[in-house]
Amino acid sequence: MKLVFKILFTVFIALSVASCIDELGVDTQEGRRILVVEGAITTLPGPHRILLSKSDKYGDVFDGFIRKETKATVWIRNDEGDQVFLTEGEQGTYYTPASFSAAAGKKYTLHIILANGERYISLPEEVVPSPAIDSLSFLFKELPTLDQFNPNTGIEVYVRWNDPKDTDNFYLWEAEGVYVVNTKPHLFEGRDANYVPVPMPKDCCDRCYVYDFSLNTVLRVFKDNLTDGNNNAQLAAFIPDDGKRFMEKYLVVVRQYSLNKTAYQFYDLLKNQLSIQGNIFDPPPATIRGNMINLDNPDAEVIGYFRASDVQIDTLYITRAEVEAPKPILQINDDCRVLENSTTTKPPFWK
Amino acid sequence: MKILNSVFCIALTVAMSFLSCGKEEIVTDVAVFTEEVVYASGESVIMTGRMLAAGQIAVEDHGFQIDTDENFSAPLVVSLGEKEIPGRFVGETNMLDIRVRYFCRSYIVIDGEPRYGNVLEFFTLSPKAVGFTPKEGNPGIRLTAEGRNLTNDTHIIWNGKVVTPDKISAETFVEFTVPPIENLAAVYFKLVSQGDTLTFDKPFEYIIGTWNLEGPLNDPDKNTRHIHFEDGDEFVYGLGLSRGIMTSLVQVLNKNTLQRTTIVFPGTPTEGAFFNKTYFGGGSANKVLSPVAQLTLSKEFWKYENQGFVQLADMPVGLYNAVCLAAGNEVFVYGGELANRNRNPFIYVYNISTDSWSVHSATSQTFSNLYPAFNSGNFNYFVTPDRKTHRHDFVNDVWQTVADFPVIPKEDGISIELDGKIYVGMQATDRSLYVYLPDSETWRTKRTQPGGLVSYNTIGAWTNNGLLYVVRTESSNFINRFYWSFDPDGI
Repeated sequence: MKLVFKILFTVFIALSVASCIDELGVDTQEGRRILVVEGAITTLPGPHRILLSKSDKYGDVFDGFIRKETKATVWIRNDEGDQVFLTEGEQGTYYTPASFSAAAGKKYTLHIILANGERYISLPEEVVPSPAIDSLSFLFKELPTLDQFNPNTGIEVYVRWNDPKDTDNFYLWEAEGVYVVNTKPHLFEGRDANYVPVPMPKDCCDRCYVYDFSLNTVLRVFKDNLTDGNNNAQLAAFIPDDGKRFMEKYLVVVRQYSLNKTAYQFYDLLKNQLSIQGNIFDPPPATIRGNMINLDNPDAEVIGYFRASDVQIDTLYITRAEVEAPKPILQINDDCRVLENSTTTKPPFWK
Repeated sequence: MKILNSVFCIALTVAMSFLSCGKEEIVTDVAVFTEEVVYASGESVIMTGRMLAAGQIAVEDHGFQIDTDENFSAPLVVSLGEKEIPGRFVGETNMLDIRVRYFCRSYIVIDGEPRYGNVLEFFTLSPKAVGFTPKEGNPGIRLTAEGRNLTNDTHIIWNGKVVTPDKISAETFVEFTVPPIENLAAVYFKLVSQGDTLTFDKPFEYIIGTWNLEGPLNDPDKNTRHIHFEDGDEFVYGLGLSRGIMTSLVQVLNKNTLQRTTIVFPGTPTEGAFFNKTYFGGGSANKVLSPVAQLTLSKEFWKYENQGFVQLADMPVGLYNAVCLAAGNEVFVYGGELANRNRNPFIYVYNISTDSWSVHSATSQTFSNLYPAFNSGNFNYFVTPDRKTHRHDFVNDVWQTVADFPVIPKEDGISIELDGKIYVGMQATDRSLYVYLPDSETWRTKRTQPGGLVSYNTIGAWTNNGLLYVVRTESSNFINRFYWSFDPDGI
């Protein structure tokens, strides 16, 4: 009898433990299709661009496609009720009229009605005035590398400005550049039928201007809580020396965007998440909430941020002679126009 | 006793095991905040609120209260119902009055007790009118008026009568059907939004003008590539090709009696000559059969006068299909082709007083008398196949592109001035007519010439007693010539 009780007791304990296991409902087969909003308006003349797409499951390209949201009704409205409707250019890309620019001090909301009727609205984004850029300067920088024969060098571009006193100011910097490349098309070698190099000199072209859009690999944001009202200097861009960029002269264009507090928090969080490298010091993964709301389902997730910024622009020429230890010039035996974003037409602003 | 103890133990174990499997349903306390007024227009507002809690909640109702009174004595309630999970919520309403200060706060109801969030203040905006499109049209077309902060009760006052919108969208666009035309050709309509009357600075213009088929015109010629102009009471046309053959005949039609007189041109008969206001010249001395073959061009320049012709100073060069525009004491000749078929880059000007030619200036534009051209004051205008209207200030030699021509222009047709407005159209077999208003530098559409299956080509046009007369001939073999009158203001 005692044995029977013991057996029954053990069975009940086992059943009770088993009954407490909840199934973890992780279903990775279906990807959620979340609206992704990318875009900003600035105080510069338009057209300004808003990109709309729906996310899909991460994985093989055949698992799902990131679909552009076409035929949406998109408009931007300020706090006085003036609004501008955007027109769709490429699929899922919506443009303001060229005449449209944001005004500092005003608040703007982005309104979206998707083709399926879903309605979205952004939280009001205030355009905070940005102080002017005082000056740009640069420093030669050598980064640590394991390759002692190929140093990792470049130019750090610093922006200096007078931060307005007694106001919380937030900044974002972006940069792009133009540089001259000299190549040797007359030394071009092709391949014969046996894939043996044979001289095939080209008549054109040995001098090009290359537009460099690859500088914004890092989000450069800043808040003035510790330097309020000071004359500040911050790193605005890093231009890697790849043997081409500083052949002769490099023009860097720095854009200083004002951010409001929520925009700064978004970009700062995004910057943190982008810095995850897979080590123990990484910040924990997090969902970053933007400023878009699904009006019909406020709990629905929307990815992205609609930003409205004031902009200040400055430019700086950096010659090869000014680079402390420039890399050897890369010899390119080809038409310079084969380089990405290159043109033989001298930019109208080039000095 | 032992058995009882054992039974008790088993019962207790079973009870505990069932309890341990139950889901933990801890209802936590909830805080509610009014986050932001995301959108405020004339009558609409969108607000966001947030409920903060450590876990699941049991809210019987949540939403927003809106009132003009800060104490919310008689609030408008935007109820969003029950909610079991905390987070953001959005409330909308479009029942507000324009230009009013409101207060809003979020609320939740738990166990029958309401709790309120912080109070936010906002102002509703004034409706306003921005514009409308199209600017002209026929009764029955869909017209879209654009405004801002338009309310749901927006309606249209059209010529004193109320028109109900077909659709109001985004508080911005009011679509409605243009009512039948009554006594006014141009209507300054208004929008009325919550009692605010909103006006536009320009009227909607009905497409008007009345056509009347006056009758046939007996004429044996079948002109193409010809010249035509009016001179006082006479409409003069001729030269060019008749039945495909070069002709030296010129017809003079009395505008009042429609009596036609045929006169013979004493100079070199040409086709593709330039002509305007009794002046004509240039052109090819032979029928042009190829668009590339070398031309034999005439440099002769003539003036029609009293059913005769006066030969004036020859042009410096021969030109084919050039544009001629007479203004004041000068006759300008633009564009056209040289004998080698290259474009003529120069503007030649003939001085009537001195009977002499000179080069006025050069232009990069290519002009041909196949397309509309006309003069108004110190400006010469040219419509090019890309729909552009180019304006040449010939006094200061300044070029400017003004309004786009409403359609892609076809060849030939009329360009004729009546009461300071320029009527252009009836090109090729087209029956449409447009008017250029130099004061506003705009094009407007006039009522299309009625027609059936028969297509007509234009011979020319004249004006008389405020009416426009157009002579057209059946396209098929250029037979059966008729003339129509057109009253530009006819409703």
